Order: sequence, then C-alpha cells, then structure tokens
Amino acid sequence: MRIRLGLALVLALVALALFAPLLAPYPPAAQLDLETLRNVPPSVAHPFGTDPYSRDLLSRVLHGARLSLTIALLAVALAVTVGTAIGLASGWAGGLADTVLMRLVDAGLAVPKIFIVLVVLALWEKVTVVALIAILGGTGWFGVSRIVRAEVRAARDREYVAAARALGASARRVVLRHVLPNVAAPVIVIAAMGVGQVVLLEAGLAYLGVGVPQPTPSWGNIIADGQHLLLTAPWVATSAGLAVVVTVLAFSLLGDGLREHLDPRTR
Amino acid sequence: MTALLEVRDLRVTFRTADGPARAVDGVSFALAAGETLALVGESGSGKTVTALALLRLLAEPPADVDPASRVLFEGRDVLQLDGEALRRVRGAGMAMVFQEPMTSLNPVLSIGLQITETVQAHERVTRRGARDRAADMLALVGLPDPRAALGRYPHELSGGMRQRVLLAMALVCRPRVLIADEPTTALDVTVQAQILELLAELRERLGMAMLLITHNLGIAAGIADRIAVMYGGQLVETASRQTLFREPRHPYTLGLLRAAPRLDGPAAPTPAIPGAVPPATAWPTGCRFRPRCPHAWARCETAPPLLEAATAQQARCWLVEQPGGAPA
Amino acid sequence: MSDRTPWLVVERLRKTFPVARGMFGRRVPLYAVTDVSLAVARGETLGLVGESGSGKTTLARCLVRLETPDAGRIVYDGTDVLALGGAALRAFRRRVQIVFQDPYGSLNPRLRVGAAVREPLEIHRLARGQEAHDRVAALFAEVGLDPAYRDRFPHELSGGQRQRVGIARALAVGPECLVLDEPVSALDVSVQAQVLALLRDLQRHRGLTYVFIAHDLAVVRQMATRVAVMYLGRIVEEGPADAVLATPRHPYTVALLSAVPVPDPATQRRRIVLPGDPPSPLAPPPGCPFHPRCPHPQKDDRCRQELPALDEKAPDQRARCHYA
Repeated sequence: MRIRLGLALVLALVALALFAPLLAPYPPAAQLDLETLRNVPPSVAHPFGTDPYSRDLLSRVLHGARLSLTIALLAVALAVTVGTAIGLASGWAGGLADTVLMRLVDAGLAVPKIFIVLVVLALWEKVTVVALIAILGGTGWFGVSRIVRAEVRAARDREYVAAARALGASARRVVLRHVLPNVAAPVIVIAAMGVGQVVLLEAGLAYLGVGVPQPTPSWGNIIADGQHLLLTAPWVATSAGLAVVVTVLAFSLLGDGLREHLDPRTR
Repeated sequence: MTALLEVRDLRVTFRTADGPARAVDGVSFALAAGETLALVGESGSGKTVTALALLRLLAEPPADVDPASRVLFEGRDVLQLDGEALRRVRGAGMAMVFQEPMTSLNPVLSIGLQITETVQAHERVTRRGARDRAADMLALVGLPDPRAALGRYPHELSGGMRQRVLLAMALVCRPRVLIADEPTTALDVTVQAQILELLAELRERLGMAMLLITHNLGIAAGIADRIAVMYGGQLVETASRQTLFREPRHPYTLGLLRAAPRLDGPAAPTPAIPGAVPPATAWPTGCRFRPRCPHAWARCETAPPLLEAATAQQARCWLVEQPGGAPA
Repeated sequence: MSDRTPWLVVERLRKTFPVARGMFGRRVPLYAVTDVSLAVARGETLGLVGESGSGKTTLARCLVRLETPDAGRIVYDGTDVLALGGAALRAFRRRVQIVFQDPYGSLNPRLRVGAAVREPLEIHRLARGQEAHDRVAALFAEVGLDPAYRDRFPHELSGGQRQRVGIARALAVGPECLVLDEPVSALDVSVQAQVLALLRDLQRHRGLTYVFIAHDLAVVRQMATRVAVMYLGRIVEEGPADAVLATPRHPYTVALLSAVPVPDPATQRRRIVLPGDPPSPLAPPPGCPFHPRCPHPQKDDRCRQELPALDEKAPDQRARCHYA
C-alpha cells in the first residue's frame, strides 16, 4: 500500500519535471511585468502566485523540479555507491583497512557537512550543476558506509555465510549473493530519505548564495528569493517549500514500502 | 484433596494474518497443594501459552482469552483480577521461572537489586531486611557466597547460576505455586541435573506445588506426581506418572514415548511419528491427532472428549471405549 | 561393518581464539580445541559428544576448513587438508560437507529454498538450466520433501523441513563425508526421529561417513559406531560406541551418562550430580581439566598438577584419567 503511494508520488514528480517545458504556462525566467505583476498572490492566472521579479512561480517550481531532482537523485546515487563500496570493503576486510577507513568516516561525520560544502564551493570559481552533485554526493556517503559496514560485520558472522563458504562459494559470490542483499534494505531506506535531505541541503546552499546561480530556477533559490518576504508574500517560499515537503514524503514512503517489500518475512 | 489451583476450560486464541489461531482450546486441570504436575508437549502444543495465561502474562491483543475460561487460585478467578489484586497473586501466590535465564534478567541491574525489588513489591520490609531475605534465598538455591553475589551482574554468572538466581527471585516471596516453563532446556546436561535436583529439594523444603512445563518426558518422569500430555492445544492424556509410562492410552503419548531416544534398552533406532504438528490456525477436524495416528478410523472424524480410561487416568481417544478400534 | 583403516585423521589439532579482555582490550587466548587426535574409518559414524564450551563445534568447523587451526594436521583420504588451497580446496569441499544445527540460521532468509539447494550446483558448475532444476527436484525427493516446496522461503517451512533442506544442500555436491553439527537438537522429539531415520537411510544408500556432533547421548547412541567425549577442548574418552556408553571409564563420561533423564519412572537411576559449571576455556585449570568437578574417590594432587594421557583402559577404549 505504502509502496504504491510512494511510487506513484515519485513517478508523478519525475513526470512533472520531465514535461516541465510543456506544462509550465510561462518561461521560468521571464519577468512578466515588473510594474504590475510583482508578488501577486495565487490566482487563476498564476496558481502559485508570482515572485518579486514578476516571474510565474508555478513555472519556476516545475522547472526547478528538473534541477533539484536531478541534483538530489544523482548526488544520492553517488553517495550510496561510494558508501556501499567503502562499507563493504571495510566490513569484509576488517583489520587495519577497516580501522583506517572508519576513522576517516568518523572525521567526515564529525565536521558539519555544510561547512565542508561551503569550503569546497568557495574554491570553485563558478558553481556548476556537476560540481554541486559531486560535492553533495562526495560528502553524503559517510553515514551510508557506516551502516553498510555494520550490516556486513553482522552478516559475516551469520551461519548462512559460513554455510556458503563451506560449500566452496568464492568471496565474490558470498558478498554479492548472501551479504549484499541483506545490506540492501537499510541502504535503500537511507537512500530514499537521503533524496529529501539533499533537496533540503541544496535549498540551504541557495539561501546562502552558493547554490545554482540565478536566473535558473531551483527549489533552493526559489525559497531563497522568498525567505525575506515570508510575512508580506508567503506564497513565494511556500510554493517551492511544498514541493520539497512532497518530495521528501514521497521518497520516505517509497523507502519504507521498499524495506517491507524486500523482506520476505514480512511479505 | 482440594485444589489449590484449578483451571477450567481455558481457551486462548491469537489473531494472526492466517486467521484465528486456537493455541489453547479447552484445557482443564487441577493442582493440589504440594503436588507437581508436568505439562508435557512438543512445540506448538499450547503448553507455554497455557502457563502464561495462568498469570495473565499474555499480551492482549494479539492473544484473546475466552471470557468463559476460569483460573481459580485459592478459589478466586485470576482472570477477573486486575491492578493490586493481580499483582499480589503474581509472585506471592504463583511465581514463574522461564526457559531463558539470560533474557529473563535485566542485564544492567545487580542481582541483589532485582531480588530485593521483588520482595519490596510484595511486602513491607526495610531495604536491609529485603537484602537479608535475598541473601538467604540465594543461599537456599545454592549460590556460593550469596552475600557477594548480591552485587554481581547477570553476565558475570554462568547459565546454571543465572537459573538459580531466577529461582531465588521467583521463590523469595514464598509462592504456593511455582510455574516452571522449560527451566532446564537451555542448560547443559550436567547443569540440568543440578537444577532438577534443586527443584525437587526446594519443593520438599518449601512445600509448594509445581507446574512444570517441559517437552522432555524423561524430566517429567523424574520429578512429576502427575503428567498431562498436550497436543493441538488440548490435553490428550492425564495420568499419574507410573500409569502414564506403564500404560499410556493415547496413541500420541505412546508415539512420543517410543520416539524418544533413550540410554536404557536397545540402541535400535526409535520410530518417528509421521508428519508434523499442524498449525493452530488449521487444526484437523475430529480428533486433532488423526492425520498422524496409526489407529485412526471412521469414528475419529468425531472429536473425542477426555474419556475415563482407568482410575485417575483420562485419554482423549475413542480407543478407550473401543479397545479394538475399527471393527474388522 | 567397517574396517578401521583410518580415512579421516586428525592429529594434535589445536585452535585458540584471541579474546579482548579488560579496558585496554588486552588479548588473551581462548583454548577452544587442544591437542585433539582422532581417526574415522570410511562409512562409520563418529559421535562427538560434549557440553557447551567443550570445543566440539570448533572442531567441526576446522574439519571443513571454516576455521584454520593453529597447529596439528587433518588428513582426509591421504591428502593434507590444511595445505589445500584454490582448486584443490574446492575439490575437497565437494567431498566433505557440513550440516548445521540451526537450519533457520544456516539458510539465507532471502533465498527460496530451491535456490539454496541449487546454489552448490552453480558454485561447482555441476549442472545448469533444466538439468539443475531436475537435480534439485531429485534432491528434494531424496530428503523427503515435496519438490513443490522449492519456491518457499525458509521461514515458511517447519523446523524439520528446514533441516531437510539443509541436508539436501549439503548432498548437492555429492559428498562422501558429512560433518553433522547437532543436526537434530533444535527439533521436537517426534520430528527428530524422522530426521535421524533420514540420515541413516542416506548413509546406507550413499555410503556416507559421518562425524555426528551432539550433546544428547541417547541420540548419539542410536547413530554412532564410535564415540569421542570432549571436555574443555580435549578428548577425555574415545572408543567403540557400545563400550563407551555401556562401560564408560572416564568419571566425566560416567556423570554425563547418569545425568540424562530416563523416560521411565520405574528405572530412575541414581544421578551423579557434578558440582559447579565447566571451567572457562579462557583459563583452563592446570592438571586434569576435569579435576575441579571430578567426583572420583581417588582424586589427588596428581590430578591437580599433571595432565593425564589418553591411555587405553580397555581394548580399543581410551580415557584421559590417572585412575580410571
């Protein structure tokens, strides 16, 4: 049930992002009329209202979905891949390699992520989307590797792993067939939750002025546009804010549903 | 002989995804003061659920105890009690020890604290008085250096010692009935022998009645006065231990006796009972042992009641009335 | 029934595990298996008996190379098992297999049981496609399982059925020798007898050699031709099953046998109740490992200081006791 709802919401979001150019009533960066159409509240003509530059917010949120979702999905994919690989290596190898890798992860977890991101972005001259994905993904894997490592350590001592080894299964086979599938459930859940988090982080960066440069719309910079108007024109920040909330919810539902679906004992 | 504990028509149903599971389905028995009754059965027979229901320890839901069931302890229905009255019965009236001595003790509290807590929950005593009682109890269950043991933690003790501590905890308020659910199953054979010895000794010294839940007929043979065999949520045979082993009247009892490997007698392979215990959501119609029974005949499609087989022996089998079974 | 030409030979096997102790994680050795020597003839069943902490499971895991011993030798049909690696080790795994105690733990919960039995065929490239499918069906039938169960998950089967899956999986590679680590101790009595009967049938039809590990002496009595009793990592008594179980020599074996409850009130024997618990394998006592609990009337300082040798006390029956 939950998995269906989550999946439906996620697919709807992806479809909206894909077809944004067809669905959006106006070009996202078009300043419609700086005299009369600034900060107009939601109406039939502008269902989400307009922003201080008289741009149509519905069009901006739709187009923003493309960038925000792309960044979030790719950053999470990167984080999960790196985190799983390092967690697997660390957990399976044990010993010195494990100690060194996990101390590194501890260091990564100890420093506030936003700080690392800001420092690295400060070194870049112009923030490109690729750079943003690389930096968000590159700082997002610490938690994943921790959890994967813990799961691998636990799975390594399971009797079915011993049974597979006694049958002559190669290490590769044991890891891919018996360890990884049992690690998959928690990873999928964090990944799904992570999408929401990255969307939020991207919004935070845009607010600090180091996100995707204007006038390209992302949910982050729409919220940034609206944050000082929260009292006078609350719909500006709310429009993209709602999109973020729906996205986080959709991926949480999907993650939760997937976890249940993946466990044969609860099916 | 008046009964100290009398169970009448106990029925416990669990709500499961596969429909209602009738785990305990009409169990009645009585326990006299000082008597030991062994409830013997395999997994899925309903013996542990019966024990838990006696002290109202089942989570409801998913468990559902039939309102018509009665558990009379000294004439009062435990199933109708709650709050303070129920708490008084637990511990001071009937106490329980469980199979797994590690998980039944709180790992972060000292042994002394866990026992004194029990005493203070039931009686008005000073902390010092409670500690003295706890130390006496630990001495009684044979823990070496009981005073020092009060300050120790569960993980510092061996499995056998932990089971002794649990016994001390159960007995510290001098209950009149001890319910022991597989008290030695998790232990090694040599340690099991120690605990069985201790149980028999404590029963004598404290004059308490005991309900022993076990899957092991050998243990029942060594310690019980009477034995009740459970299958499919029902009692299928009750008898004194001498009668039960000499002249079992239910085919399941006989099958169980024959299947158990033993050290006396020939070393030949023992015959198995074919099939497996059916799930509680789908008991067979008629006699519940019918699909596995070598004697099953047409009459077994009607469920037999517990029939008087001999003095103080009952069996839930039509063979009691028709010893030949099916007419040839 | 079998000549005593040794087929599986264990010589002075030793295995310790480092265990972290105290605040600074000082490593101390846990003596799991100490100087164990054994010989098993082809087609016979060696019953390995002991309580928890006796080292019987560690020994079993060494036999199938799941653990690497610190010292000693394991020779199977003339090959030095501990020297094997790569392809030779894989070939050895086709000859000697293990069945675990808890079939719930030893089956991957995410793998359907048919896939679990098929896996060894894939690992050793013994069959694929339809042939593998048929082989799995035949294995299911051989262990008394309806092949229709192949699409179920382990949690959907009963304990007895799961253990049959565990056995089918071990049989898939066509082994000659099975190490059975407490294969029936998690099962109910009536089901236990079914699985024991299956194991006996398989031994007869396939000519298997068994190393049968158990804590239940009555079960071992039914299955074993020879018995070795372990205490605190060492073998304390060894010999033909009939002799060891009927006329045990070591005081520990005597006590162990007397402690088994007999399902007959008429023959309640006098139990020898040993005091205390088995000592910790982290700090085995000096001298005879059994001396702190030994009820033998002649126990003296020699027992406390000097480790007895595993000497022949009766024809073909050896016990590690100064006074047996």
